[in-house]
Amino acid sequence: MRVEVDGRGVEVEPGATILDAATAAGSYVPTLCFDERMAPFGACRVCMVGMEGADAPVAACTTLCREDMRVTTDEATARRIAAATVELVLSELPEPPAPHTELARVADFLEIGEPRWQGERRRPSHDRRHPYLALQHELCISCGRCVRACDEIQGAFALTATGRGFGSGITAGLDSGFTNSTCVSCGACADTCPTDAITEGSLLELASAYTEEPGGGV
Amino acid sequence: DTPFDFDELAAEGCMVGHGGILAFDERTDMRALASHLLEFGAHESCGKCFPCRIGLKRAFEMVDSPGPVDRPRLEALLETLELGSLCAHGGGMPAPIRSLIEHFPDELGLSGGELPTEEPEDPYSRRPEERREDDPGDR
Repeated sequence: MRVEVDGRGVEVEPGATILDAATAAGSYVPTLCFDERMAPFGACRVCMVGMEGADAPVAACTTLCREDMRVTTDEATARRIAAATVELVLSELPEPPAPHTELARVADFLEIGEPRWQGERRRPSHDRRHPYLALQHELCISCGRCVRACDEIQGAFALTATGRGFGSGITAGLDSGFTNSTCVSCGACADTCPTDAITEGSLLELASAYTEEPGGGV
Repeated sequence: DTPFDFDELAAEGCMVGHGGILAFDERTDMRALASHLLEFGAHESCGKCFPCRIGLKRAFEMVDSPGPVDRPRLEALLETLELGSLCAHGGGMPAPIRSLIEHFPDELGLSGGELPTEEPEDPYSRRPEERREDDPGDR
């Protein structure tokens, strides 16, 4: 079917999402919880776009294309909501995201400054029990990518979402750490993580060797 | 005096919701009520989507803190919740708050008066080239 994204027409298969169409049309839509290797999740609400005929922005990753649909990826309200959402994410983190992370790049693209809404932040909690998979819970934004990677790509089901509301997070095994779970140490979680919540341990040591602050972040 | 029905309540900026009725008398502190509603909303959030998971917490913190509540900032947060949330929990929480804002603005202790324009007025969300000279910004 044919859809139009930012004035450009593209042909997409039935079942394609607006995000698929935008990618085909060459329009960048910022995302945080999306990973093309896994099924769309619709959690981050950063991929909001404008759709002709809709009375509110729609999430591109979980909205299916219809024939002759017209989408504007940088529609004002959609971008405003997306930016405010990323702003909220930054407000819960104890420190700004490291520049190499996907979160930092999305925040830069949306030109996020100091969050307008300040309040409680995530509490530092580090799990270094595994020889090389390092978990820094305070950097987790609960996007679910690691859980989905472990489920859909690896099939080990070692990670799960835990907690609820503002207290949401992820955990390995029964809060037992990677080593004492069904984890097979493939690293898919670290690979997909858009922050440094799950990362490779030696990278942390390497990064702190180069920062000027004592015990500085990655 | 308002008939308890969909159109009649909607015309007053209210909603039927699940159809329950809570009765408060004139001694009820509406700010405390707003705080209670938002605390409930934040607690009941499942935590999947970002606007609701963080936004309801922040909305509660705004209203629960002492001092005036910055109205444009609250309105911007409510808009994000209403339009960005994955489901009607985050999407629906702004409605009773907006109803309280409309009917009891003085009791809520709002400051900042006017509703936000198309673009938020907050200097932190403007691009560097759009900032005025006297903006604090985030240099």
